[in-house]
Amino acid sequence: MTERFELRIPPSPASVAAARAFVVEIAVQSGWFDERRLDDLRLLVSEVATNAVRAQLARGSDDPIDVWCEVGDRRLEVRIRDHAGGFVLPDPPPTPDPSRGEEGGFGLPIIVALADETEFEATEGGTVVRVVGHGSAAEVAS
Amino acid sequence: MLFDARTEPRGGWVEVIVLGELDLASAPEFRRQLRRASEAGEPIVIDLSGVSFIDSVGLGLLVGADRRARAAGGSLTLTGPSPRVDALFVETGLSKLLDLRDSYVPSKPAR
Repeated sequence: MTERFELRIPPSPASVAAARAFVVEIAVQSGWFDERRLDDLRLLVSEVATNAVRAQLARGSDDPIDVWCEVGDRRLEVRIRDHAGGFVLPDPPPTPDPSRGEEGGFGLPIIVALADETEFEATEGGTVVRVVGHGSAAEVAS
Repeated sequence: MLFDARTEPRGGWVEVIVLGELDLASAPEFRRQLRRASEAGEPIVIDLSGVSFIDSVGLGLLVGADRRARAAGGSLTLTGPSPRVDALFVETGLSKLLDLRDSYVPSKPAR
């Protein structure tokens, strides 16, 4: 059985926390994610939502950002859609280089490292980022 | 209130105490406190023990602050991260770059 949830957020910095809370609550309710995996999901969603908000702020777009979450079969899928043009993940994916002392550049490597699946799909006027997290081996008592 | 940061002079060093979630929303306030802390030209210590969550935005700000402190001949020390936050420093390779400690002991007496 798959359950679907939807959240629409304005492209503002405060929305990133809303996206985190939305997905983590769904993950908690599913009972398939232990503390460690919940932390991973929280960070994963934060990174994807941050990229979406930043991209739209940079473009001056007021369009809402859609967060879709599907949970079922020990698996949670999040799709976040922005309206900030298209983005294609570089191949190979970037790795952080802290020695360069960059302020940015940590987000994408974190996404790629934490998600069990990652997909960037260019859509009409924007990007849908799809990430999947698999649950813990054992069911977590909730 | 999900985030608070304040800067305290400690007599010979400056401490930035951070509470809550360090992300895109709290970045401007954190950046302001980092700038304040750097004005004294003293060693900067950032107390992370009250940080419940940090993502790449917060990590980036810490890396930038560290780089600026070193460029100015100063130092930046991070203290008391929770196990989860500490693990993220390790996973991103930043633990090799940043000065992470349980607590800060000034190299010379404060007075």
